[in-house]
Order: sequence, then C-alpha cells, then structure tokens
Amino acid sequence: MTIVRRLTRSGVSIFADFLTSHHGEIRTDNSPEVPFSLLDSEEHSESLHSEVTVKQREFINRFELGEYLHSRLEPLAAELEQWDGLWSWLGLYYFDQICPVGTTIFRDHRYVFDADYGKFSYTTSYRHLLYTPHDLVRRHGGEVGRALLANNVHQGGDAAESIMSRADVRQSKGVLGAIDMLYYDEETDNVKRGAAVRSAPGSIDRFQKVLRQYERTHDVMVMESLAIVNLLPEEFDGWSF
Amino acid sequence: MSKRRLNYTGRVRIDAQRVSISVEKSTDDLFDSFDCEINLEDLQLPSHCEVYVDASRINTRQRFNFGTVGSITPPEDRVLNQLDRSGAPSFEVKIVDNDSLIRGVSPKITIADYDNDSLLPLKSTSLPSGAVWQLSNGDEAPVLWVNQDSPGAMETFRQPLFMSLILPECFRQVLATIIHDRDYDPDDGDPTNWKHRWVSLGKQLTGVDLPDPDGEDDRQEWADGCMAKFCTQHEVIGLFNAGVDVLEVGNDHS
Repeated sequence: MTIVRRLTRSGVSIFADFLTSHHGEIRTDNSPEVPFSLLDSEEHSESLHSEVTVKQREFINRFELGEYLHSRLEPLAAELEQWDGLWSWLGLYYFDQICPVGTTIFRDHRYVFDADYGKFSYTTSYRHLLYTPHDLVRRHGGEVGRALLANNVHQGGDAAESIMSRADVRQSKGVLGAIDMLYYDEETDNVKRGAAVRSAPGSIDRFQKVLRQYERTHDVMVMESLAIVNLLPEEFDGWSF
Repeated sequence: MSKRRLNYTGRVRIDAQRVSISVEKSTDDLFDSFDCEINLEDLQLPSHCEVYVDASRINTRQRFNFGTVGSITPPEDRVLNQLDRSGAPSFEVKIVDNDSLIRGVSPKITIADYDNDSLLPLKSTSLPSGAVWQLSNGDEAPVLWVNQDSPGAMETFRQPLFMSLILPECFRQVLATIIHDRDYDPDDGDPTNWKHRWVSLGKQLTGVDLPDPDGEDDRQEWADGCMAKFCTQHEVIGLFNAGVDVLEVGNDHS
C-alpha cells in the first residue's frame, strides 16, 4: 500500500512538461523515464491532511477503477475537491495503467488534472482518466455509469466522452441509467456490440441527439431511466433489455 | 410578411420581461450568486407545476427549485458553483408538470452588463458596414461588436459554434496589434493600459514573456504559440463539434 500524496505546483508542472514533450509518442520500453520520483519527493509532493492509501492493481475497466478509487478516497471528503495536486499525483501513480507501454501518450489533461492550482473547468476536467470514473461512481453510488465506463482504463472512448462532455448528463442518474439499460451487456460486462458505431440506428451517438430533441418538451435530466427509455422511438427498441 | 410559427408542444412561452435576474459577481475567487423574480400571472399554468431556474454556461448547467406556480419560493442557496466560470451565465425558467412534461419555458436570459470587465466584451451597436460582427481593435481596449440589426445575435454569439469560429480570430487580431506596436512597453507600470492584460494572458498561456520589439520573428512566434495554446485550452475543436451537433439536432427536429 502507498500513502496518497499530492503534487505541489512545481510537481504538476514537471509532470505536465514531461507529457507535453512526449505528446503523441507511442510509449515503449525504451521511452524516456516517467518522473515517478515526484510521487514521494519532498520538494515536489506533499502529504494530504488525511491519510489514505492506494495500491497498484489491475482494473477490468474504468467502472471498477472508479469503484476502487471511491472506496479508497472516501475519507478525504472535501479535500477531494480542493484541486491542489491530488488528481495529478494519482495520474502519475497509475500512469503505467492509464498509459501502458504500447499506447499513445495523450494530451496532458488526461493524466494531469487541469484544475490543479487553477479553476475547475467543467469543459475539460472530465477528460482526466481517473477523475471521471471516480466522480460518476461517487456521485451516483455506483448504481449507474457501467456502459460509459466499460472501456479499458487507458481509454476515454469517443462515444462515452461525447456524452460525458455534458455536465448535466453526468449529474443525471436517470440519463446514465437509461444508457446502461440500452447499451450495457451484463453478461460480458461491456458495451453491447455496435453501440458505439455513430451511424448505427439507436447508437449511443443517436441517443445523444434524440435526447437533445426530447429536452425541448420533457424535463429529461430529472426523469427516471425507464421513463426515458420508454420515450425513445422505435430505432432504440433493439437495444433495450 | 411575418413568419408563421406553429407550436405543437402546447408549452406556454414565458416572456423574458416576466423574469428579472441579477447576478452578484464574486469579488474574490469565489462563485457568483443570483437573484430572480418571476411573474407567472395570467399565464394559465397549473398551480401544482414545479418552477425551475436553470443556469447554464457552455455545456454546464445548474438547477434551482423555485417552488411551484402557485407558490414561487426562491431557494436560499443561489450560488452558481456548478457552472463553467469563463464567462456570463444564462438563465432559463421552466415550468414542469408531474409527468416531466415542460408546460412553460422562457427564452435564455443573459445578463447584459456581466462582461463589462471581461477581456473582450461583447456589445451591440449599429454597424454601417452591414457586417454581422466587427472587432474594434485600436487604441482603446478591444470590443467585439455585434450588429444590432441582427436580432438574437448577442445570444447566438455566446453559443459554442460561434465562439469556436470567432474568438480565435479575435484573439489573433488583438495579438497582431500588440506585437506590431513597437512603442508598447509591457513594463511601463500603467494599470490602465489594456494591452497588459492581453500580454499577461499570453504569458500565462505560453509561459513566455512578450519578446522585444526588435525580434519581429520572435514576436510572431510568441503570438502563434499563444493562439495554439488558446485553441487547445478552450477546446475550440470540441466546441465547434458540439455546436455542429446542436445544429444537426435542430435540423432533425425541423
């Protein structure tokens, strides 16, 4: 077990510089060394007010990652939302999982939390590969979000992120539950095949567009999941249940 | 001939004049809050329907429950702490029935003077050129002017699609003015010099000071770097795509 710390401003800056200078590269065994030493550096990281621990382990998908982080970080309470280096520290701690060898190093805000030492941005912060799984699980108690968080932990997923770019959708248990009802396959613990194909009838992309239409007549964001699914047109019939 | 409009939804339109909203801007780094008075008299809305005020900014939204049509009661907590904070919020009043059907809705209401201290205020005026918008970019602090003959343009310009198309160009034009001004001294200590705020933003984006006037290429490179950072930080492509999605939905719906 490792005691969770937070990166200082300089620690965040060093980590971000590393990511920026290697953005777009495919990580290999010979890639430049990730600055893991920041994690326990007295100069570039600090203790939290409360002591919590995490460990390196495999996660089947982003949902399981969110559940794990929620269970470990719950004692931090308000400290979770102070944006002072915690999520960037976690991004570095789990870097081998969220950017494993053989994958591309994405933009820095996937790993460094862009709200750290700045203003929280509802338009970009959700792209952090650890923050969003944790946020959805914490916000909704793990009852919804399985379809959108079914990806590998190093992938945001285009369809899922397109939907999650809307803060009101992330807040809506009913909408997230409807997405689970339509697209989550319990047997495979994954998204149903074809759901992410943009052009497919009743796809996640279509759901998003139809949702916008219903928002003109219905207060969709506070509706129950089943009521939302029942509203949908025929093209979604093949996806539910 | 006026355009004929059909309303199949049965929703009642709540005119903006019936809604009075004022935003109290935070003087420090805390969140804004707002006050709202709503007049629903004579609109024949069922008294049991819920009254909500939805505040929004880009793709973020925060809902406030104002009671029912029969008993409008502002919530005590009216702090806008769930919204993107990069600019003015807009507000929409919704009347919602038990079955989640929207019975009444106001247009999106923006606060006219919210952006007065913003880096690039958006203002309405008559533009003799006939253009829809124009950037004033000279000795005075830049302003993005919108032609007052284009109704609804002020609100339209706050939509993601238009922001993604227009703001980067405005940013480029303002920086071009600054880097070609050889007399401008970033260290003159004049607090009223509007260029300082833009140069400060550029430094914040790139981490690099404005190069000396003799280094013309360096200055151009600095401005290019600012533009690139501005576009990535504000997710310009994402804003554009989101805006196109909204347009597509509108077309599907029409």
